[in-house]
Amino acid sequence: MKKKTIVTLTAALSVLCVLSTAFSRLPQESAEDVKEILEKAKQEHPGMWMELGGRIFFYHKISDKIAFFTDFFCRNLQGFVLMDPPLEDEGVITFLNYFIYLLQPIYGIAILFTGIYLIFVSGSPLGRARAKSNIISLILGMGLITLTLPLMQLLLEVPHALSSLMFSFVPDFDGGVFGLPADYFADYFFTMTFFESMAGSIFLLLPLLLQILALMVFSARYLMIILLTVFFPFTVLFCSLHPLRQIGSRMIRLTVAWAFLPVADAFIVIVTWIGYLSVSGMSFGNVGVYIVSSGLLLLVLAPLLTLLIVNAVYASEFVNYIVVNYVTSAFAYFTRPDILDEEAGGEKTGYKEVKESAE
Amino acid sequence: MKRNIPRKAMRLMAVLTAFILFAPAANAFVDALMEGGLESSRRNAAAESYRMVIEEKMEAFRHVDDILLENPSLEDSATREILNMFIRLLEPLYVTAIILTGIYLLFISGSPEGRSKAKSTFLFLVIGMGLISVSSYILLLLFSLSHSITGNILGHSPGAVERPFVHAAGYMAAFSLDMIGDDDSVGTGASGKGVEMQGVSFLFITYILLEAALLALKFRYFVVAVLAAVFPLAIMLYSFAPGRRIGGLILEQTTLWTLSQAFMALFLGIVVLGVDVAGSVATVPITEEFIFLMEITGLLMLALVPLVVAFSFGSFFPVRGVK
Repeated sequence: MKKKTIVTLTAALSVLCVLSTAFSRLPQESAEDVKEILEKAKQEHPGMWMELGGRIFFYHKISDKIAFFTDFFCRNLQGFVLMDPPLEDEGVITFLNYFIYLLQPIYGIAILFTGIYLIFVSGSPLGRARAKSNIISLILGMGLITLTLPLMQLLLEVPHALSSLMFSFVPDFDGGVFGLPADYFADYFFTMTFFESMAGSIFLLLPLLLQILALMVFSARYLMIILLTVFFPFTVLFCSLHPLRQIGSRMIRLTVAWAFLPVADAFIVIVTWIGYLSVSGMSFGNVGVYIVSSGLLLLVLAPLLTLLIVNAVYASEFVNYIVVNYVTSAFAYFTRPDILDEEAGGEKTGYKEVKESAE
Repeated sequence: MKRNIPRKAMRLMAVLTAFILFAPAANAFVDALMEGGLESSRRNAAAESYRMVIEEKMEAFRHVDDILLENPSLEDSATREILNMFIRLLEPLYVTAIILTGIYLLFISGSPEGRSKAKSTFLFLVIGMGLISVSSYILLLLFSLSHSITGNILGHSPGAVERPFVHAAGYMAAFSLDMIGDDDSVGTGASGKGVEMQGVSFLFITYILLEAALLALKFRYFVVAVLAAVFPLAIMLYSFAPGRRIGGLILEQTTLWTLSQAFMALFLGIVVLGVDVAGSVATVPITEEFIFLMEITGLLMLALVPLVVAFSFGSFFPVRGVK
């Protein structure tokens, strides 16, 4: 058997030798080509598999995050719109009380100085009137800052109720629609990543960024409401003092704008939902995805829009017009001298006519 | 047993043949694995360096209250030198202006209107010169007022003010390092797998966020130093009717940029408070990811606080006589 083994081995070696001779007898150019291809395969293919492994790893990591954020955002969209900070929490109250405590001496000094100005300094009637108005505002302000929390809660309750009412108009509202752009652009991202890793990352921004920015706007409102609540006593003080009244008015507008943001958000969400429903039956393109993307973009820009609306309402003196101007002008209309003159004139005319007819 | 020998030989032959035939491919895969290993080690080294940079920034952020409380020194600094230079430059000008106004008042002015104008200018000049002489003390008063308000607010903050930002940066850095392909020594427990460029992009965002917040704090310090240096010039400009608007603007901006440290402290306190009370929000389940987003939003807004204060709280300085 040993002989057989030796024979088999010798045969195999001979086959190898023959094969190698056959390869060595290939034309030189072909041999070079084959060698080059083999070298390339040796160098590139394993590297390529390693690279693909890396991309799949990245894909897996990111897809988890996209899925999480999309799901979290869509499931809680209505909750985010209606999210108000817990102002009655002990932490907020302690911080607010500290600011009220800080303001007490400032109010005392302000009232004292205005009183001194009113009694000893003010010469002109304008200065005296201004100081009087300041003193009344300061005393009213002192009362108002103790009501900071109920006032802010009222300011948050109204938009909360309004947005809840708006959501009640669409009982079949499904927040899942707001995940469509993420799914749509994530497909692009995943496909592109398979071919070119960094080119795909650009498409990663679209599905992630819009939702994350919208969530950041919701958290910005949450923080701003706490900030403006804690700052409210200062806002009232600024409104009470004549030189700082402009800043106070700006702060009030800012407070109202951030408080009423849920109304704008609810409006945008509902309009987007209705817009999506109106095109969802259509067979062409992905119009729905772009409608929802625009809705998300509007949610990101909503604070700016709300602030613009509040500023425009303030600039148009809408409240003044409705509450003060209308009543005043109505009152003025019935008491204006020309009406009385007209009536008097009417009497005169009538008198003239009677006189003429008598004559 | 004897019959098994050729089979064994055949197996050996097969193995040898397979080895000879697949040797180049096997070699290539071994090469690739080695390259992968090297690449992984290189990535780990890079990740470690990035981690160190981020941790350095996080360490700087751990002392954010000290950075926030810093104001330019008026004792012995470049700011003080420039301030003194302006005082030295302006005092002779003031003296000349006072003498000229006095001469005008005594010998030249004929009309009551001119006399009254000269008297008012004379008064402004005397007060202005006095204020310029004590401008460094006025600034010191402003700085110490702002410092004590800021310290008081920081002291009443519901928690350590750096906590949310260190947490946010740590969260994002861990995610990025995990993506780069961190090893166990870094502490994330991930394997040697990973991609570099994408992970670095996230690390870059983390770094930029921390750097932006620190830069905003440092930028405030720099602006306050510059405005403090030109403070006497602002007083001088405010003394004369033609320069009252620009002088008032500089004085107003000095006050606002100095006090913006108190607003930054307030905002830091608000973010800590917001994160602390987030658990009581009724409408949404607050997850760690949302807390992270809240902290990132706070970090971004903190960088904007001095600019918002400087541009929104303006127009309170009286600039009478200027239309």
